[in-house]
Amino acid sequence: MLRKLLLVTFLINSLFCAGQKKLYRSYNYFAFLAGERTGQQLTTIHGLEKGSWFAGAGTGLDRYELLSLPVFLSGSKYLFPSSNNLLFTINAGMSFPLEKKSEMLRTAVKANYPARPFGEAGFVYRFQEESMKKGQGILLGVYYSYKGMRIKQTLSGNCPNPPCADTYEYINYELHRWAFKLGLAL
Amino acid sequence: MVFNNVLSAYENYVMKPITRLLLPLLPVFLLAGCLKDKVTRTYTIFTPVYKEKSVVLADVVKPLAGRSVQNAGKIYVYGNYLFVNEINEGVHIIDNSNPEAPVSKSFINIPGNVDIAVKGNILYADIYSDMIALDISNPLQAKVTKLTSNLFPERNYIGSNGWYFTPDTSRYIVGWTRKDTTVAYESPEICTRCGIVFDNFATFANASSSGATVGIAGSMARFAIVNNYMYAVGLYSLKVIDVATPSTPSYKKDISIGSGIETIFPFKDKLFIGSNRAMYIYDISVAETPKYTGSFPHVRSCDPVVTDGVHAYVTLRAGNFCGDITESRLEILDVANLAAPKLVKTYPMKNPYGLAKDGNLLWICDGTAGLKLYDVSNPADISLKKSISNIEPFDVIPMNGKLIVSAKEGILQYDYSNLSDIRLLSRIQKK
Repeated sequence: MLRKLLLVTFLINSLFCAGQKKLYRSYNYFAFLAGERTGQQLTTIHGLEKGSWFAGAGTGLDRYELLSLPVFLSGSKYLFPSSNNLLFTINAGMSFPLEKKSEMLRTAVKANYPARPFGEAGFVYRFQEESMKKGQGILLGVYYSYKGMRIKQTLSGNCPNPPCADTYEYINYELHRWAFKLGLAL
Repeated sequence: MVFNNVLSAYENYVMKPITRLLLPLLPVFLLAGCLKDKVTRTYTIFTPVYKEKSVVLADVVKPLAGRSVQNAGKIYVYGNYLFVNEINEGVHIIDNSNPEAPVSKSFINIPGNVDIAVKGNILYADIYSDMIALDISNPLQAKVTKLTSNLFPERNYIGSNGWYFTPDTSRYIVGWTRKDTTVAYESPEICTRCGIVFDNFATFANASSSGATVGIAGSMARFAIVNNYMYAVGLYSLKVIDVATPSTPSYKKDISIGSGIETIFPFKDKLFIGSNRAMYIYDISVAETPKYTGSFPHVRSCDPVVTDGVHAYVTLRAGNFCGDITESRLEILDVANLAAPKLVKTYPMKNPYGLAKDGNLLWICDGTAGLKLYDVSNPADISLKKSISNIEPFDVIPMNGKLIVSAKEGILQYDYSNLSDIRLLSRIQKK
């Protein structure tokens, strides 16, 4: 899954930049996540900027319910190209859990945490100091952020005559948060 | 003055920018509580499928000519006859006088059958939760001589949560329909009766029912006949059945062992019982009252056992259903002191099922890795002698240099009297 995502990212980047003057850009954020519970997120997005558009790929750490590694594609558009200050951004990809929950079903013998969808959409404002180069700046953003999570538990059972088919139970999490992001465009 | 300057600078350069930045976000902070996480639990509901016992039993006595082996299960050798379980369907009776050309004599339709044993002319077989005794003097005209009800109640449920489904006595549960369902999950509470849920519950009711030669079973067997007693393992217990009069077996008692009981292997006056937690040894010198002698615990896994009286050979199969271990293995135990078996050594395996010992040779059905033959003359350093990798074996019985193998591919017989030239004698395969 991770490999496929990286391949798609590479292809999109290649298409987006074909025959155009491209400018490398990175966006690096710390976010405070607030929903039914709270959490933190660190992300870094790297890609290419052309005019008022930006496309890239990002990853990071997302500590909300469970620590996970989001890997995603990112697309942005400066809403007012004259000033290039207000940015609308969409991130879409997968979230790979990095830790496990302590609770298990009594009859479970094994728990897997498969990758699940990850997505964000929001507005970012860029404050550019005089000392900074064009395109660089301090970023302040508000996003709606979604993180999926699933615990696939393999249950033990009565198997008097092996081999027996496995039985599973799934705990599905659809986590909705606001992400308040502070970052740097480099 | 200095203080006022600092305060002013703080107001201008710290507080104002922060206020300017955060003020527009205030409504968003307030809205944060509007977002709710959705946590659901997806599980499987099993619903029993019933059939009237009278209908099922009427099918058993219907004479059927031999048919091809489709889904071979456990095997049992009795004289020149080979009995092959067709999983959940019945028993093939095969004339094996000539292992190079076995002849299928008849097929006895026994729905829900997975285990078999033979004494004299009587075939014992499980039929869903019951045990049936059949006179097979004429294999084409098998006759029911006795039906012992509810000997295997674990066949009436799926799951290990301590809940059973008890059908009324006139019906069998012949299958389960499954349907996945999703409901809200009350995190972080750990559910205690989850995963597999029935459409109805009832607590378990205890089973209330009730000098011929015997055959040889494979290591995956759950039935064993020793002299005048048949021992059958259920999921939790050892069942003692008097078969002194073979045609009318008489249930005597249940001896609780533990959970996850899987296989039984008789050796002289001892029973070696494989469970998914341990190997147990029971003394049957007083045949009707097996007595616990010793055990050797292991991590949760699926495990048949065989012994030569000095060592016990236990295969531990890993896999989701089988439990905690991630790598399958063979454990060799020193059972000289039956009360306290000791581990001699473990050897890695791929996917082991049944095994069998003949002298210093140990055959292991290593599932997808094929059939393996080891020299175990030194249990602390066994060596692989031969490997037959183009089959997926499940159970094996060696006899006088001939090997009978139940495999995914059907029933295969080999001649291993010359180890440097193990020869395939015959193959009864799926058609």
